[in-house]
Amino acid sequence: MRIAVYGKGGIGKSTVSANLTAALGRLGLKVLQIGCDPKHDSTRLLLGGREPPTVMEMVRSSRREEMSLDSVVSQGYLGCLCVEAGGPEPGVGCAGRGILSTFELLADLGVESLDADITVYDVLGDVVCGGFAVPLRNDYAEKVYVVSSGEYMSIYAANNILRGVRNYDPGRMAGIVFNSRGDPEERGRVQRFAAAVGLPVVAEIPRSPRFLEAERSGRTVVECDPGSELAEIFFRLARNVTGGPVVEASPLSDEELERVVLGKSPPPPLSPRPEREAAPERRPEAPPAYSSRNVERKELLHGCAFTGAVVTCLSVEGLQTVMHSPDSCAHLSCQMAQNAARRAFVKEGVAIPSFLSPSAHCSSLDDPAMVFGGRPRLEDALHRALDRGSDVALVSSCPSGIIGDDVEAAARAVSASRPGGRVIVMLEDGNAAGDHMQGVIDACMALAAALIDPSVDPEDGMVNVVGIKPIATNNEKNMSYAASLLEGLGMSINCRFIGGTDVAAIEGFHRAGHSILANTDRFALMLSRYLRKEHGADVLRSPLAPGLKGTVEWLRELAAAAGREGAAEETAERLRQEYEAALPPLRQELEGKKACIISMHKDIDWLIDTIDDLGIELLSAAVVDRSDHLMDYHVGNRHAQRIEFLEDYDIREVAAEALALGPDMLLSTYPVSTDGSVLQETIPMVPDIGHLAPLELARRWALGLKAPRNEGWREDHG
Amino acid sequence: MAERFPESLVGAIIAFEGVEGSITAMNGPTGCKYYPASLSEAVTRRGGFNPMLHDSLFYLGQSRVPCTYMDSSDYVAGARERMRALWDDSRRRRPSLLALINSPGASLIGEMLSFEGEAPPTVTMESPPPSASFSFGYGTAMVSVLEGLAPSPASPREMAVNLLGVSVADLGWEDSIADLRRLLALCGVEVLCAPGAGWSPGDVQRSAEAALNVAVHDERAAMAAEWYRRNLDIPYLRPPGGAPLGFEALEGWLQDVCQELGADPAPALGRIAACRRRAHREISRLDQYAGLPRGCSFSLEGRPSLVWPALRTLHAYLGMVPVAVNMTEDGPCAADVESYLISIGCADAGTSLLDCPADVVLADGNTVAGALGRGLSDCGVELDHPPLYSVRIREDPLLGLGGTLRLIERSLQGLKR
Repeated sequence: MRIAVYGKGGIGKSTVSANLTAALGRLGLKVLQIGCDPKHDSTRLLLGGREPPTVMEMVRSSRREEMSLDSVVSQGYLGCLCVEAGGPEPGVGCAGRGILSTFELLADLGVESLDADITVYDVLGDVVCGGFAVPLRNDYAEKVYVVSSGEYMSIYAANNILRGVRNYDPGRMAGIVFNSRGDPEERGRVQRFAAAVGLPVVAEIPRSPRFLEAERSGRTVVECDPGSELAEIFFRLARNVTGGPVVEASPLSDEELERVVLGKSPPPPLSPRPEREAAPERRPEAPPAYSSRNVERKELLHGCAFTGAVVTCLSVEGLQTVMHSPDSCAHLSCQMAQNAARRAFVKEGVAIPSFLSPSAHCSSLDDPAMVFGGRPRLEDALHRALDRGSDVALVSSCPSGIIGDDVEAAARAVSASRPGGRVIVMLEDGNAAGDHMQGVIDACMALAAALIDPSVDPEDGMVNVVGIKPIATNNEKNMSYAASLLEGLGMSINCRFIGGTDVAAIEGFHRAGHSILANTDRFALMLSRYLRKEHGADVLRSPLAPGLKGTVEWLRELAAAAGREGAAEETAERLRQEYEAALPPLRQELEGKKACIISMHKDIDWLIDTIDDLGIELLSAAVVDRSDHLMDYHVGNRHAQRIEFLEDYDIREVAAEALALGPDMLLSTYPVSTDGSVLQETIPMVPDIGHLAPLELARRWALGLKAPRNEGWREDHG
Repeated sequence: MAERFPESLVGAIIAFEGVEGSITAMNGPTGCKYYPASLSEAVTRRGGFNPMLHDSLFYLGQSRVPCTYMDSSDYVAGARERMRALWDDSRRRRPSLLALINSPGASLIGEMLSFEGEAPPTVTMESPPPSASFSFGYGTAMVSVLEGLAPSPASPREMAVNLLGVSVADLGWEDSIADLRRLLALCGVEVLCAPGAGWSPGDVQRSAEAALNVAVHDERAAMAAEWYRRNLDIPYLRPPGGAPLGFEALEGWLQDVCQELGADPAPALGRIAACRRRAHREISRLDQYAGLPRGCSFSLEGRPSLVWPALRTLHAYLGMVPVAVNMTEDGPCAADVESYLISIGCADAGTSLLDCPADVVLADGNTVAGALGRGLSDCGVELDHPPLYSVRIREDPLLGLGGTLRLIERSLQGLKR
């Protein structure tokens, strides 16, 4: 049999538990008592005042193969078995995790094999997190006792415990053990509470100096004076354990509790209280000034800010990235970077050195670190990183945030001990800061704030590119195209912010007097706002873009800002001629064909321009809103009246409607139908920029139209 | 240089995903779900990424590993109701096995994963091991699958074995199993199944009939092997040469299995001998033409059970010299590798493949791409997921006879004088 004794800290539950164990022992039962309180003094009175080694100490100091039950099970009064979970020092780590780990480890070590008739779990009841609730789970305590005095906060804690029990199998409450503090009013309060929640008061323990006297000798009252009236109370409680009934309690609301226990009428609420929903709304506070869409709209988070920040940092050459996380988080993030590098290498023949061999370090949070706090491991990882380079980005994960590690203090301490070392802290706490995109934004801003040198003077002919997506595989191709046009203006790229750049280039950001956006999405928009406001950057409005119109636009705007209009016009004319020359053969193949668009991108003007220029008939164009892809920024959308913007839709219906129009080709971000009878061509997530880039896509359409609609492989399924 | 990150969470999920027809449902944020789900899609070919086709709530554009998309408020209040909804959604899909797993964050707050109600066979992992190796996560999950599906004791079939330690995340796992199955069949030995690698609940039950469990990758086999030994009294064989890769290790592996079962390895050894002659013909051409491959350098990375036989094949058989050897986790073969390097005078071989030029680099596809992309090598051979190229149609085993010929052929391919 297993029972749990819960109660507020300091209420005497350990004294009650130890005396109960002693009484059960005197009734001839073999008892195992497990103390589930970080202060690990539950079993002291059964062990002659000794404090046994705790399970968590063993976890911290031993390898798994060295651990055994013998190391943590002590024998006490009348042969009872005593175990203490232990836990971290106050203020660090996660005590609840310690309890979880203790239970898992004890099960692994075979605690079931111990010779015990009854197991008594003595559990701290102030904390109602999942760790301290383990003994309430269905496969643990069959009976639950709550120890309470008549003080309001003690009863409040008792009521919380009943709420906790209700979340599991509620019909296991044995009763309230009233441990008196000597206040004449308290019996009434406890009795009213017990009646209101439907529980019996199974024992009333008077305040007595005998407890203190017994404690001084490191023993229980039952051991010191087994014939006393006090001891008899514990014998009766022991008999209740072995034979008493269990019931389901009805915990009270806070208002009811005040009324029942204190006799108070609750004041009228200041404002109506919203109904608690099954999925509580995320982060009630205002979103940050520079936020992703998911964060601003409090939507489901796609990916985590940790990974977004890590991948952004990894893309910077010369920057060491420390992840304060379990290895799993580090592995997932590095895989994202390395997979992008592999794809770029295989598909584009381009090497991204910073991703091919990421400068990454991990604090490797494991179970002991999560119980006792991960700061030592973090500091160790920071030192390793600083051994390799003087600039370090530090990103925190969910577990780090949950256990409350003081990441900034660790960074300060390590920086102070390493002159010249710079640690840039990004407190993402996994997805507490937001989704992947929020992490990318946060990292860009943190790196800008830490690295950009405001004293650098602008140099003629330099321009920054802002809002690059580091994991896109066509970055090098696009930057190479932009550089070739800039060369025509007598200009060159200064800093690629951020993707394919290094620490020195970010430091010298102000060497360029102007910056161009790499694309039109919300990420680029947020960065441009930030760089304008915080760093006084001149970020131009026209982004690098696919298509002739978009290319000429940014070229002209930059030229006007840099006083190079003449060269820009020459280049624009050359681009126009090249574009015009490339059109006819494609037009010949595609003119009169019919197309539908279903895009997750909002900016499809360039696509419609291309369709128009090639004489393709556009039957429909839909932009479908997705929280993970569509960017809710303002795009000019010159063709807005030809586009349907859908926020609430069923993609199957949208696809069916488009197909019903009888297009020759369906252009969409991903294939939307498994029907092979129509040509489906994809719109790239990050399109190539340049005046001829859309025609490269159109060339694929032309080829696709020559392909059979019912290829042989389609017959071979199943 | 990147530190090496083990991957116990992915290891556990891959063990669950290795059960045919299973669903692995995660209580955790989407950040913990996307990569394991995409890995599972890639290695089991069960659907792909298409946010337009897989747009149901818990799946988030992917076909595998639905999750409860936990966020910071859930770390305070818990996500039990959403997990219950996911459990309900999952059980209605009637999977062969429903595996429920907490993310590291969810495990910290003690989220409970058991629910009352009719459900398919279900296993739970409330506290996946953080910061441990892939093999440890994989082994832990394998034990929970075995405990959850609980194969009943059965009379052993005399010449039947299970192949332990293969996961669906192993490059060419299906082809490797098929290759080994064919070789063992030549010796009259039947492979009942490869626990963890595409096995069905029926296979789980059938696995109890094995006369012997044989390690393929011993670091991943050990925990399941111990479970079988303790619960079903099935003995476990760990051939000392590591995984069956390379002529010598493959022959030794087959001989050990046959000896244990009283089978005759001669037919399989004959098949291998024919391939040895074929390889000899090709290598001798290179030798006569350019003195290759003797003295060419290689760098090698992987788990110890792969590194050990690959190292011997490249050094002892082909005459190539290791300049960097890195083992990504611990395992019984690790000490053999270290002793061997000392014995051949290569104790000073580095451990970072990305700091060291080599004629051939053998590692996972990302590391190979890293070495090729940095100009450290002109020739790469993938030994682990991901491959450089994702389309795979031809049979292309990593292990067995086909795997041995692949290793030799691809290592020679880029050599030049």
